[in-house]
Amino acid sequence: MTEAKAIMLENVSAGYRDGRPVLRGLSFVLEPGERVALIGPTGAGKSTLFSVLTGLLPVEAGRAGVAGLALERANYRAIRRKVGLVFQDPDDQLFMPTVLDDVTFGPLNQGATDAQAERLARDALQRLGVAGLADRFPRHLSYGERKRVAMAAVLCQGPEIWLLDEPTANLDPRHRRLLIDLVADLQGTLILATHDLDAAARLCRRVIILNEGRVVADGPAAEILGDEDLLDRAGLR
Amino acid sequence: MMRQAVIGQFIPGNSFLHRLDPRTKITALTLYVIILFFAVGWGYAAMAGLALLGVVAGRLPLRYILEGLRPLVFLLIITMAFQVFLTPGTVIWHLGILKVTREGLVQGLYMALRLLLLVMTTSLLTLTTSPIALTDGLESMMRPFARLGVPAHEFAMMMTIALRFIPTLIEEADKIMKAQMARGAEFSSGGLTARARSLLPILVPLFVGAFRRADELALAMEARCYRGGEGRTRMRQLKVHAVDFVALAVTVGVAALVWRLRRGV
Repeated sequence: MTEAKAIMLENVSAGYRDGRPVLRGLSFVLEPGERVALIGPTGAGKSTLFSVLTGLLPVEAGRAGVAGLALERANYRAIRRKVGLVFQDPDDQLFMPTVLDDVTFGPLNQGATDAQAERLARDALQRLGVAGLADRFPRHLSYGERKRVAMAAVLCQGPEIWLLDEPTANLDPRHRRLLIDLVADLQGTLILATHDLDAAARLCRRVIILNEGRVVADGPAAEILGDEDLLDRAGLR
Repeated sequence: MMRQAVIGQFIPGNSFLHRLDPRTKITALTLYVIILFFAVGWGYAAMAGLALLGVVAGRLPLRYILEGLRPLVFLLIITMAFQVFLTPGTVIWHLGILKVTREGLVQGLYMALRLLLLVMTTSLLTLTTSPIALTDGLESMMRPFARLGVPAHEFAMMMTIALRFIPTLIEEADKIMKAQMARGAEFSSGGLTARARSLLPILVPLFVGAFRRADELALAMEARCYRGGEGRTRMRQLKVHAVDFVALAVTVGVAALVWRLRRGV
């Protein structure tokens, strides 16, 4: 049933242990290679959904599949190899002392040798235009540079499915444009969680609006982003 | 996993225990802990009674306290096993080389009870005293030693800051773990050494982050003219009330009773 789908969610509910449920009966399907913008106000459940899709947060009810694998504990490891999550705040993602250490972290977990990992990392840094930063401390980089390093760290793992959490947030105009171009070049299935409607329109043909843990609209970008009433009701304008 | 730890948590309230002066609670707890090591036989009943009285006087849900004792179970079992099997005396039951002695059984029970009461009363103090009140109390009690060069205020400030940052550090560790798991790190598989080794990549960034935070905090404090305790005035003045004398009298009373019971044996 999940074979051909990149992502399949059917009535999925999930939440944090200490609070009320964040996702409440979420359903949508993504074909391989599809690019979707996930938009919704803060607290709508975008980041929570990403945690669920990478197995960082368990599915409490409903059925879910990622890359043809059911989303359950036994498959987490295999799923994380196929799904690349880029955190909203690069500081949450970068934790190693140097940029190169950080970017090689993923490939090393996947069983690459030191030399292979370094080659993969340098390639990824090159593609994102930050090859010169390999030996720097992530803390000393600018926010935009850290965002690109965080993306390189995921890129070198070669994910089939990209989950990008607010890639353009808090960036200056030049870095924002740069990031949009970089995202446009990524291969594979992609979910872009964002408040940036302009970036959503540029990068994705399909848009899903999330509010209070449910899908409130799902359709072609032009249609949904043109519906001012809908955007108003979802608190996006 | 770390959320269960009750020690160090504070539940705001307005109960008898909450209203006591922090110094009263610290003094009573110190006395309690000392006398706990002298208790025998019925003395334990008196000590347990006082601890339960504390739970009632603090209007704390007993279930919450018991929940907090759960991490202790493993330690309790080990302690009891050692006492039960290794104390020499009258053998009442044996399995191979393992011998259970009457003395060991009694010792084991006492030891377990002692540990339970110790943790329970200590968490009573932290559950009913805000960290600020606690450090205010400690500072005030250490002040007489300031003349001997004990930096009372600095100790208190250090404690306040440490307590304040415990949740922050837990949150930070959680974030780092998630970031690593998303990129294929494993924490819950493998043997004990493999698990311990996988914790290392969490500790390093956690410490780096903590040092950076400490640096920023120091700057922020200095920017607001902090320069240690000298010449610093206080916003809250501690005052001893009648209830404090009542609480101390009850504690001293129980302590005297326990002491007498010991002499009686």
